Amino acid sequence: MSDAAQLLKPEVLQGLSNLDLIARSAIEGFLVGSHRSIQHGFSQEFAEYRAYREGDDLRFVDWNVLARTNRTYLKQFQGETNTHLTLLMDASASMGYKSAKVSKYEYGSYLGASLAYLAKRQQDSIGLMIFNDRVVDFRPPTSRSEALPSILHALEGTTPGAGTDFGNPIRDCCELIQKPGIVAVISDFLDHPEKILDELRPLRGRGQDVILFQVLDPSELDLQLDKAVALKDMETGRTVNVDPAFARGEYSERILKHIGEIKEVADSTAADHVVLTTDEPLDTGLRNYLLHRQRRQ
Amino acid sequence: MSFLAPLFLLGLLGIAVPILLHRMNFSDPPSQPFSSVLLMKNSEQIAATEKKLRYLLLLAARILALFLLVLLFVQPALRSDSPLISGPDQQHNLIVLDQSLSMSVSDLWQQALDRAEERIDAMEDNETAQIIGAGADIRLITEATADRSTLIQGLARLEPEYTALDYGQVVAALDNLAAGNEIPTQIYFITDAQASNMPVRFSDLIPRRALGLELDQVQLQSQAFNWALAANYAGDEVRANVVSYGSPARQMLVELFVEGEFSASETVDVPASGSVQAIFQDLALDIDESRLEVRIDSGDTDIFSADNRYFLSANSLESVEVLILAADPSLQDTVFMDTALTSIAEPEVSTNVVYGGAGVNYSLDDFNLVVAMDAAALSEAVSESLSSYAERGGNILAVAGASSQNQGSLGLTEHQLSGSPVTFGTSESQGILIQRQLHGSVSDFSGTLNAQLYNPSELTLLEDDLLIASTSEGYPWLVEHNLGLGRILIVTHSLSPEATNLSIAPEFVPLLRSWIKYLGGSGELPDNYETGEQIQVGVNLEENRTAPVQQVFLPGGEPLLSLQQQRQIQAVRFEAPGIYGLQTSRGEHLAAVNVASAESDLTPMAENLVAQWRDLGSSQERGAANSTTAIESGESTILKSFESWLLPLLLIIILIESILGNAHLKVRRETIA
Repeated sequence: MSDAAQLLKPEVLQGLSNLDLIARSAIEGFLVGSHRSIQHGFSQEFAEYRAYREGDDLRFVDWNVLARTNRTYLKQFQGETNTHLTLLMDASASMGYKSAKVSKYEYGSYLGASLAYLAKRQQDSIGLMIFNDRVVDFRPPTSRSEALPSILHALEGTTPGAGTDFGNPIRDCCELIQKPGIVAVISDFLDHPEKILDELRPLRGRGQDVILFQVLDPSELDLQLDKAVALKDMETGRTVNVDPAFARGEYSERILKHIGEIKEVADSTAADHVVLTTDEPLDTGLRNYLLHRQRRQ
Repeated sequence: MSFLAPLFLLGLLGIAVPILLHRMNFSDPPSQPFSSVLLMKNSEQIAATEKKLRYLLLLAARILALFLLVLLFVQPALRSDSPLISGPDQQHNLIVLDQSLSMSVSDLWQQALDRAEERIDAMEDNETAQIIGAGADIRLITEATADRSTLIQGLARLEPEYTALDYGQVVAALDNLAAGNEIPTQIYFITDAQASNMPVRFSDLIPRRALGLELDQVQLQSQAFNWALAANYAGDEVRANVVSYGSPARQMLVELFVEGEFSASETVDVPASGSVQAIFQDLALDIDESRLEVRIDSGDTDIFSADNRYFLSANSLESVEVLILAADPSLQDTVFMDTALTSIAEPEVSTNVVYGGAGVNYSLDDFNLVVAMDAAALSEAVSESLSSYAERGGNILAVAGASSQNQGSLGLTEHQLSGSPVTFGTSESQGILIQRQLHGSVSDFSGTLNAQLYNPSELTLLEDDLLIASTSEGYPWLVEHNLGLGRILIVTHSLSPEATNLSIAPEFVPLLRSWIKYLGGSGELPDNYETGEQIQVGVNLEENRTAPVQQVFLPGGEPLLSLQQQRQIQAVRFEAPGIYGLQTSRGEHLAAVNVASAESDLTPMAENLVAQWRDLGSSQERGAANSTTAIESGESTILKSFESWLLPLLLIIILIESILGNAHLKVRRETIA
């Protein structure tokens, strides 16, 4: 693994002093390790020509080329304008769970900070809403230079706690963010999929491009128990006795099914869905995100 | 509710044990935080609940099992109103007289008769009764009747017997009788309540199905002294033990009689409530001196003289018919065997030597003993007939020889001999080591026999084989093997001079004599019995192998069984002390029969036990004075025992506990895995 790639490992990033440095290191490492083409994701530059197909918008026909070559080509751009990136960061108690060094909230913070840094490099507006069962902190999207430090400060200054409710923050988000842009929801989405679907739907209705980053701890995907234990829900406090046999068998099926249902929720709202675990490098998430963005463009 | 053994209630404290163990084991699993139990709800909650429920059921089953176990020991009995009695209905009485030998002491029997007559006289118009004798058997002397004269005549037919009782068995038998009656039946038991006749469990004294048991104890009017005698004969001496039961110290003459003739006497000082031994040594009995008797003269103060005589039998063989079967006439060991056997002085041994076996007309059952020389060399047919003979009860002395070693098998039995001779160590002299000095076949020998064995073979012992003697290096030499009813003594080594010098050693004839006495005797039958004991009898050995006794001769010499009875009667009880002759297929065996030792101790049961027996046994809550009133007012109660269903219930609970316990262990194993 290269030095740059090494920097993207969450446990390495955790050793850095602050979130600004983490985001910077992550993105620089990511960019060094990636092809240049990927960073075109947020640019508004001309990208390429392609042959006209029936049904294409005539506004994008390059008339000059048509005049010179008598062939009809369309100009393709990576983006039309500078966009807004709003991070919806789940800071519920369950995000504080960790089976190794990095908790889900910490990992989500690294991811959010990296996305914010990446967007800032593209001169995009960046905003942040931290929520659990209510809105904990809100930084409206702005392209001003102090936006990034403000977001990073908010992410750093929040401790996970309380339950999860997507309803309030998304409702607020719809009201407070009028211009269409990109909304990146970073959460473990350990809630009923139908409820999440109901709560995400208005966001899409406002013309926002939604990306769901589902951050999970490795032990949540592969729960290994040596003996029967009483698992205490970090949000509700409810305790359930769990046998190793159940953890090995039925639980694994249930978590995979749950992830599948969140994916269906994302598909039904035309959102992207990226599953990340706290032990994998950040670039997986970033690359997935940018690839999805590129396809969407 | 009454408890027949309330002390066992302390056992309920044991219930604390499973509770403590469950508390130690059933702690909640360790708690650890987890992001969300959203995906774990329902199923594992149910599983945990089920597990907890199962665990609590297991605890309940264990507590219940312990509780039932304690109940079984405590033996609860419920006093409930008897549904059988209402108003002036009939009542039947079983008037039972204890016929054990102790009842013959002083005027106890007369007291018992008087009490029985009183009870008969006190019978109401609605009562019937029958007289029952409780001796060696429970005997119905009269039919159920209200006729007092018939009942009193029945009493005249009873008298004490030479037998001891177990009151528990008596009550159980009477209870069964009572249960068979359609009308409520009361047991009226007249006894001396001898402590030595108590059952193991006090609760056995309580009838379950009868209306109740009324105990009428007869007692000696004055202080009673009794001395008793017991003796045994072993080797050439008789040891007599004189016991004083609550009697003062005194000097006493102990006399020994042989065949009814005075032989010796000894004066002993018997301590108060103690015992002393008199020993008659160096008896040197002749062949026809088999009946011994020891007597004490305890004087007039001894109120129970039946135990002042003790009979002993010195069974000996007068003559033994031996069949020697040998395959090869040239074998020298057959000649040595024949010569040695015929030189035995006592018992007198007559031999028949048959070579080859096949084609020779002989009947094995005509002989007391068969000696098979070089057993493996005998034909298969001969071996089979020998096996059959042994299974019928015949005894065989099987001597291995050259053929046995070559064939690797004994032939007669399934014993295997090593094919090649065992190589001894460096020592040249290999003796024969007696391993079981107390065994009848070598009882006159001990340590090592002065004989040399050359190239012995090794015998593989079968299960239940008894190793009696071995070579100095531990190889089996003399082994007893049981086959059916018979015994086979196996000598693993040839007796020819090439194989051993035992045949010419001075010990050989005495050793053979021991074997003959052991195999030719009627060792299956004990020498001593007590009055009241039974033996099985039967003529046809083939059909009744467990009854080797064909005829019983009374002490006076008269045969007990007629020819018809020999075919019909299967068991005979010794009803009086003396020396009986038991005719077996191998001759007469003398059986010394003495009075039941339990009867010698005349001490009655403790007063509190008698009171408790009376209290628990009496079903009706009434005194003798107002009995009629109580019956008419329907106040009678009956003891109902739970014992009959407590045990099955306990077994069911244990079964449930096992199933739950296994399920719990399975869960624990899965958890640990």
